[in-house]
Amino acid sequence: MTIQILITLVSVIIIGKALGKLHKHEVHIQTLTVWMLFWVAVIALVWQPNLTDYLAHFLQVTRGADAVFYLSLIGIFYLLFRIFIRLERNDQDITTLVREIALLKNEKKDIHS
Amino acid sequence: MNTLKTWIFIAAYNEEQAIGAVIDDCLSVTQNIVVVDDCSADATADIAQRKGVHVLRHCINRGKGAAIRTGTAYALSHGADVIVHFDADGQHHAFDIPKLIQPLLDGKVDVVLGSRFLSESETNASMVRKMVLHLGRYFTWFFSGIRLTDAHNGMRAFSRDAARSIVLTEDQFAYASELIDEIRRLKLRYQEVPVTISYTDYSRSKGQRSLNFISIGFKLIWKKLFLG
Repeated sequence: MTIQILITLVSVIIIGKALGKLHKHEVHIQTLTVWMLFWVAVIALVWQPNLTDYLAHFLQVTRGADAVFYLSLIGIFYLLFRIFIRLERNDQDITTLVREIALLKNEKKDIHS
Repeated sequence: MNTLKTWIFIAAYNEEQAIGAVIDDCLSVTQNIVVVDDCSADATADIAQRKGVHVLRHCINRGKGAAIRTGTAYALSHGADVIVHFDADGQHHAFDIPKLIQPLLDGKVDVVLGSRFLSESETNASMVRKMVLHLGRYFTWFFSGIRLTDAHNGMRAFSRDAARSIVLTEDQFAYASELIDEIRRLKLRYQEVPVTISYTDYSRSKGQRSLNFISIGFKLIWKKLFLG
């Protein structure tokens, strides 16, 4: 029971924070919807673990917990992949800026000399 | 030899011990030298400035691949017809530059790659370094389809058109493999030319450690598998 209450509390706090971000226009409505659906699903699965059996049956694995584990693993790897791509893009943007600054500073130096 | 539009590009990071002598060596070939100081913490940029060459400074350290893009953009904007890459740690020799750029001046090729493993080349690389470089060669051959005797030699020369069309995205040392991929993608004409590489205790301490090539390899495989 303690873990169920704890996970529910954490989920509610995360949903609350996400709604706060929407209020400040810091998050897109589509992203928020997906994020909220995920945490609502977490709350539902915590209180009704039997729901995972449907998932297990669909994925043809023995236990619901296994199905959640496999899907979580896939989800985490996908997120890592997305983060890697985002990091690459940020890195390239920073390099472009550093290059532009270096070239501009030199241009100014040429003008003044 | 027409040196008017030949630009030498030197990427430097904390090279205050060697950069002065390297620039002096290059000045015997051309006055058109651009040094990109990749946010050195020492006097590299000041020494280069005092030598009277063009100096650009990265405000954040971004790696050799990034410095190459900055130097290339600068040289192209100053009308370079030929761009030579030259290392800042003193392992390259300016006496190799005329024979490196000759095939470009003759219009025979678009890119000339220095090699320390052709019959006339000279190098005092250690056995481990040679093995790692040969592994790198096979790696590049497997992924790019281009078979070279030395795929990771920092001394190269490019025609203006080749330098303009090559697109590099790798900031760190993996740019060297990306460069070979670009030669294949753009169907550039290339040639290897023997060059002398002199490793010193200093250049060994500054250069890439052999183990780093493994992480570079992993990164390239990851990018090729998942990012295309």
